[in-house]
Amino acid sequence: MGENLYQQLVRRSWESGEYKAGPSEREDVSAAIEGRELRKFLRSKMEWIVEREAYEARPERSRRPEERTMKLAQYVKFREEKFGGVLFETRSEKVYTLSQTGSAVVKEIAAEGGDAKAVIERLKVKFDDKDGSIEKDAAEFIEELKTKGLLVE
Amino acid sequence: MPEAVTEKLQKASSTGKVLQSESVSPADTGSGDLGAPLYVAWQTTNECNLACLHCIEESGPGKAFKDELTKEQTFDVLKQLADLQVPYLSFSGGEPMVHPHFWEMVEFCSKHEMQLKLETNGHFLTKDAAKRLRDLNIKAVQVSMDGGSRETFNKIRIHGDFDKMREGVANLKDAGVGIEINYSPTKFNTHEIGSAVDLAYEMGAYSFYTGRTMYTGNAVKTWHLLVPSDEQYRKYFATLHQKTREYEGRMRVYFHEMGLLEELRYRIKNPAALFIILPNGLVKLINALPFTCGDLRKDSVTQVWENFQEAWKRPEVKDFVERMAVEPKLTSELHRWVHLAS
Repeated sequence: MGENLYQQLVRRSWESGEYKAGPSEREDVSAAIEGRELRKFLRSKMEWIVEREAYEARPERSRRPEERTMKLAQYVKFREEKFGGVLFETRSEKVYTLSQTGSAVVKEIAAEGGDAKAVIERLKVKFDDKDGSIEKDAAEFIEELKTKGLLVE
Repeated sequence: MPEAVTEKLQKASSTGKVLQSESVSPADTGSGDLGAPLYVAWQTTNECNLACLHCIEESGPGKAFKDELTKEQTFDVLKQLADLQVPYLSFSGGEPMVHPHFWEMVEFCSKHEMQLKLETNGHFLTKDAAKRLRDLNIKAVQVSMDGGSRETFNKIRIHGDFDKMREGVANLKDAGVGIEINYSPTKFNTHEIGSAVDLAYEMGAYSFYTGRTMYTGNAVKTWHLLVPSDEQYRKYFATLHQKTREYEGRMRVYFHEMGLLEELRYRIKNPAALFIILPNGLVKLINALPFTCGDLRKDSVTQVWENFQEAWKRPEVKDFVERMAVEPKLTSELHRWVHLAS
C-alpha cells in the first residue's frame, strides 16, 4: 500500500527517532505542535499505522470469503434474555439490547460459526423463512455487528 | 424450535428492529427486564496497605471487616454469578490484591469466561503479577493515581509510593494488560489534571476516569484538606473537556461533571444493571446510598437481584435522595447500612 507524505514522515520519524518536520511536512501534519508534543503526536500515529498494518497482515484477511468464520470480538459477551438478548462490549462498557431475531443470529454464530452466508442459510432453515424477512434482517444485522466491531472474522 | 418462539421471532423480525438499542453503558441499561446483573462491582475486602485521605470505604491496614466472606462463601457467590452468565465483574476493596484468595478468584473468573476488571492502588503489580493477570485474560486493570506528581500522590495516598505505582503500571504495559487510570480531585491536585491525563496516556492507559470527590468515608474527617473550591472545579472540568478532545481516538477521558444529587435522581428512574457486593456479602444498590437489598451469606444472587429491582422503587430511597438536596453532608452516613427487606 502506497504511503502519503504524512505517513512517510511518521515512518521516518519512528525509525530514526528524529521528530522534526520540515515546512512542507509541517503543513501536512496540519498542526502547529512542537517538540515533545510533536513527538507524542507522531508516536501515537505511528502506533496506529503499525496496528493497522498488523491487522491487514492477519492470515484471516488473506482467506477467501467462503473460508472466513465469524465470532464475537474478544471483549464482547452475549447473554440471552426473555426479550431477546444483550451484547456487552466490556472494553468500552457499552451494552446493546437485541430483539429475539438478533439474539437468534448471535446464538447461531456462537454455536456453529461459519461465514455470514452459512449462518443465514442455517437460520432460514431453522425458522422457516417463507417471506425472506429473516434473511434480510440477519444479513443487515451481521453487517451492523461487524461495523460496530462486535463481530470479527 | 417451538412454533410459538418462531412466531415471536418472525414478529420481532417484521418490525425491522434487530438491534433494539444503540449502545448504552451498563449503568444506563434498565435493570427491570434483565434476568441478572450485567456488571457486579465486588469490594472483596476492606483491608488495604494504604490509608488514603479520601478513601470512601475507610479502608486501611487492619481495616478488614470482621465478618468478611469466607472462602467457601466467596466461591459460592462466584459460582452463582457464573451460572447466571454475569458477563463482567470488577474486584476492588480496600486493596483487592491483598485478599487471601485473590488469585484463585481471578482464576475462577478466567476459567468461567467472566470478564474481570481489577481496581487497585498498583503497589502489588510486579512483573510476575502483571504477566499472570495477562495470562488469566484480565480485561483491564484500573490504577488509582490521584496525583500528577510524586508530591501530590504521596500527600493523598498515605503509605503510598508514586514511583511504585508507576512501576506497576509500566509492568502492566510491558505485559500487554489493558490499563485504566482513576483520579480523585482535591484542592491540592486539581491543577495537575492536564499533566495527569498526559501522564496516563504516556503510561499506556486507554481510559482515564474522574469525577467529584465524595463526602464520605475518610473524606468526612479530612474534608477541609480535600474539597476543591468551585473555581478549582470549574477549571478542572474545563481542562478535562479540552483533554477529551485532544485524546479523542487515542484514550477515552471519562468524567462525571454533574453532582451526586443529579446522578441519584436519574438513577431512581433508571436503576443500573449492576450492583455492589460488600466484603461481608451485603449488597448495596449503589455506592452513594446506604441501602442494601440482600445478604449473599444467606440469600441467592437471584433473590438479591429481585430485591434490588424492587428496592429502587421504595419510598425510603427517594426520600433519602431528596433529603440530600437540603443536607448534602448526608453522604457521611453511607456506611450506616439500611437494609430494605423485600
